[in-house]
Amino acid sequence: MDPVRLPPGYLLPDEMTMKDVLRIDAEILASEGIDPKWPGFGKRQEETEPDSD
Amino acid sequence: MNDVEAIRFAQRVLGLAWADLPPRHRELLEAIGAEGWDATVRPLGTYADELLRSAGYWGLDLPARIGRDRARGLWIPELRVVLINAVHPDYEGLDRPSRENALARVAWHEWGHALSLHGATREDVAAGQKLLESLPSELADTIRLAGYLRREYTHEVVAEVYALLMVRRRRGVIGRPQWVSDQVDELIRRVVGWIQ
Repeated sequence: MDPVRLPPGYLLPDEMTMKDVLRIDAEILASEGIDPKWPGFGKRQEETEPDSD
Repeated sequence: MNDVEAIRFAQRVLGLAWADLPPRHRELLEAIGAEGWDATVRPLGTYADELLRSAGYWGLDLPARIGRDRARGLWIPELRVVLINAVHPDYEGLDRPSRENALARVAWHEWGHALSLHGATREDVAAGQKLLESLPSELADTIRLAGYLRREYTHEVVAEVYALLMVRRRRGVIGRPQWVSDQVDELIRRVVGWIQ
């Protein structure tokens, strides 16, 4: 039997945390005109296409 | 939040994040062995090694275990489960909504990773560097500087874009993001069955 080879898992650079990931996500969402505030897991808003430029 | 509360919180978020996936994606994840999830307070490489050994596998070699101990999430195909470290130091100092957001994003990343490992071709894997360079620069840096091997770039690109598509979908936004290149768009459509 050989050792199991697993995917690497979700890694971040040593100097980064999930707080940085959430910040980058927020910047990307805001760049599309999407409210970056986490909406929680309540009822999803009606699905819409993003505005095109 | 103590360890018990952290596990309960993470398990609740994982269930909600799973339920939020498009039904076709859940079916595909069930077919490829990524439909289970669990949250733990143990470093993921060590915990995965223990789970594998208790299931009759040989476990992980030491470098693999150490490398995965710092992961926030980990898919174990042999056990059909995605593991989340519920008490990773990253979550300290996050308020509850941000913690929920972060845990859901880790889960969506791992499910996107599983879809990519299942569906990406050898040619897709070979194109990893180019795919990575087409991402927004800060997103690309999170992959490039994390220590992944080049042959892992394609799967990480799919996983990150998939997680962000789910983040957008949770906000009611569908459609191709402006920041997704034609090549990544084609890859995601083919491998994941998205973009809507």
